[in-house]
This record gives sequence, C-alpha cells and structure tokens, in this order.
Amino acid sequence: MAADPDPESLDPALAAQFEQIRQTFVSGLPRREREIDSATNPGALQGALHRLAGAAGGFGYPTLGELARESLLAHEAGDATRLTSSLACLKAELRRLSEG
Amino acid sequence: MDGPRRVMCVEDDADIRMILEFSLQRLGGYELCLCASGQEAIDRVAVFSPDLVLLDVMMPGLSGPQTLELLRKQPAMSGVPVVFLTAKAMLNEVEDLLQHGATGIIVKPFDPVKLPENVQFYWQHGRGPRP
Repeated sequence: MAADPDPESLDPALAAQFEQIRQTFVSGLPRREREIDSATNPGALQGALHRLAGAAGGFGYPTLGELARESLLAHEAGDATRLTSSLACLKAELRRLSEG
Repeated sequence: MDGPRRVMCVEDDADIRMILEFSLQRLGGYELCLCASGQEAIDRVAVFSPDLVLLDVMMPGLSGPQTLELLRKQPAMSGVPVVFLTAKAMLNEVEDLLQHGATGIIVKPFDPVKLPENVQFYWQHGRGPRP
C-alpha cells in the first residue's frame, strides 16, 4: 500500500527538489508527535494519525506510514492495548527520523 | 497535449499539498489550485475552472463527499472529473465514495512520480455529464 518513490528515477534538479521537500516533512515530525500527544478527543487523534498515515509514504517513509496506519486502525477499533503499543512504536519511529 | 491542464487539489495536510505541488506542477506540468479546505475549493472553483479535481475525503469542516456535493452545483464543474484522495481503501468505503459521484479513488500515500499518469488516466476516462 505505501508508496516508495524512487528519487533516482528523477533528473538531478528534480531529485534535489524532492530531497528538499522531504527535509521539510522531516522537520515537521516533532510537530506531528505533539499533535498526537496533545489530542484531547478521539477525533483529534484520528485526524492526526490519518494525516500522517496519508503523508509519510509519499515522502519515502513507508514504515512510518504503516505505523501511523496501524495506530489509526487500533484507535478506530477501540482497542486500547493495541493502540498503546502501536503508538509507542510510532513515536519511537518519529523520534528516530527526527534525530536522523 | 491532450490532457488536463488545470488541476484543483483539496487537501488539509500542508505536507501533502507540498508533495502534490511537486508531483503535479513540477513533474506533471499542470497548473494547480491548491486548497486547504472544502470551503476554499467552493470559493475558488468558478474562477479557476479546473479540468479535474483531486479531493481529500477526511477533512475538518466540510468533508470530501460534502464538498463534492456542493461543487457539483456549480456550472464550472459540469462534466469535470473528481477523484477522491483517501488514506483508507476498504471496499465498502470505495463503493460509498463512488456513489457520491466521484470518478475514481487514489489511495494515499501515492507515488509522486506516478501521480501525473493517474491524473491523466482519470481525465481521459472520467469526463462527461454527471447527475
């Protein structure tokens, strides 16, 4: 399901532009983690996870997208145990990429 | 080029709007109108007069299906293909979305290198009068 764009298929100028927008996405990951942490209602958490699940793979981070999707599915299923576990994995990946 | 020139993208996530711009404008050569909400799309559609609309399903305020219903009332949208962007692709949801009058579905995350081809495909197969 996750897209995994291949910057090698782009000419160098476009590949450089793509790398630039990837860096912009990565620089926004701490903000996305704060959105998840500060979600005060189910709709806010669902929205934050949904946006991250939809975005990450397009920037070449399919694992991050899949972890967000897993958390979203756990949230929508009302499975608190699974949600806690999947959110821990998601936040660890967010920090790993942010500190990259 | 036989294809769409003007594409309206309605998406609430700023990062996804950024990658839509890269994909469709820089790679695909389309003229874009990027909207952050359904209301913004409704406000701008008459002036922009798109050849095709990419519409996020889950947005705060007006949802994708609600936005589509309002867009279809505008003369500028007669026969214009509308493709939903969704992070979910459960079969029953796809059927629901198509019943709202969408031309097709593109699942997020999408490959920015391939998205211009998908837009071309839906433009070729989705034009025509709509109810």
